[in-house]
Amino acid sequence: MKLYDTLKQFKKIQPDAEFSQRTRTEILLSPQNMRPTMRGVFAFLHVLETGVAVVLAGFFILILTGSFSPTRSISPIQYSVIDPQGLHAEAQAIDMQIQLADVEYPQTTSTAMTGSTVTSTASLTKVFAAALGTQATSSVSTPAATTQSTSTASTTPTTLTVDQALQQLSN
Amino acid sequence: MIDGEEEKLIRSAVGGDSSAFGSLYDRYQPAIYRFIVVKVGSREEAEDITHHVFLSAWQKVRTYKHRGHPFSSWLYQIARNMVIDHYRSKKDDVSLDKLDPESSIIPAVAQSDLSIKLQLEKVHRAIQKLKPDYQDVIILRFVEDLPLKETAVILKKSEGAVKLAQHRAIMELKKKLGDETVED
Repeated sequence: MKLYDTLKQFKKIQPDAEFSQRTRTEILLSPQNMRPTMRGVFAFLHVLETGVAVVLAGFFILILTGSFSPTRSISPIQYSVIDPQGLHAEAQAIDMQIQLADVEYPQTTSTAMTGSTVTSTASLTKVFAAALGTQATSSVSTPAATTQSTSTASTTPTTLTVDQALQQLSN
Repeated sequence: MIDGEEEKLIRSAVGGDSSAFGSLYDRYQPAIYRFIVVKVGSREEAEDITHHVFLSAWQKVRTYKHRGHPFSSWLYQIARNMVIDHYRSKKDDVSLDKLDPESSIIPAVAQSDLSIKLQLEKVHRAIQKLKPDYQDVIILRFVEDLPLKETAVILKKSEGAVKLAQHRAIMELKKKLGDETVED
């Protein structure tokens, strides 16, 4: 007999009929482990699991397609409110303040000037122009200032401190 | 392949219908019993394990998820696990020498012909000496005539792996039997 035919002979094995009937009855009469309440819990968890998976998948798809920008949606800073021209003007003002702060350096170092009296605003203008460079020169040599300084120089000589001179220049 | 009637039975059984599960029991119990008895080699032990397989299936049938495979695939998987547990718990008692000769598994129809009976016993002893995976493949493919696809599902392997395993299993079985006793 060939091996495969021999193996086929094993298919003739049958369980005992009495055993089959007895065990069938016993099994079908036995209670099932899964109670309906537990099934409900499992079903709910299954739905929850599916829902979370769908939401996460949607979120990642949004990110991948690029239609969602976290910096735009989540950031508290509203970039649209910022005015570039205003920013530029503010930056210019900060720059000016720094230059004015630098003015104090020659003012404190030139003790001779603070200690002594200045005979005219014209001479002060020269000193101040030297300290500020071109910026100061341009601001000082405005038509109004020039007129004022010449008129002051031609009249009575006054005694001014550096602070007073600066006050006048700023006016 | 799973037919419409079986699908209906499965759906009813999953819903807790005991008569539907009873029909599935009638349909598959002999095959599951054969699978177990060829592996363990004892009628009593096979009956005990078969009972536990179907009891476990009945208790867990509500959690069964139908994936288009025959219901028997699930039963075979339970049976495989139960046989493994059986070997683990009775490691020292599985020697062939300890088997009761009166408890032979050889089918009654073959008992009358002595030469067939001897040959079946010899093949059975050789099968029992094989690795469990080879035993499964031989029983499912050559005794039960299950298709490759279903065997792959039961053994949780690819069809290619099952083909390879069945080739090796037959080679191993022939080696155990010896060329002079059984022709191919």
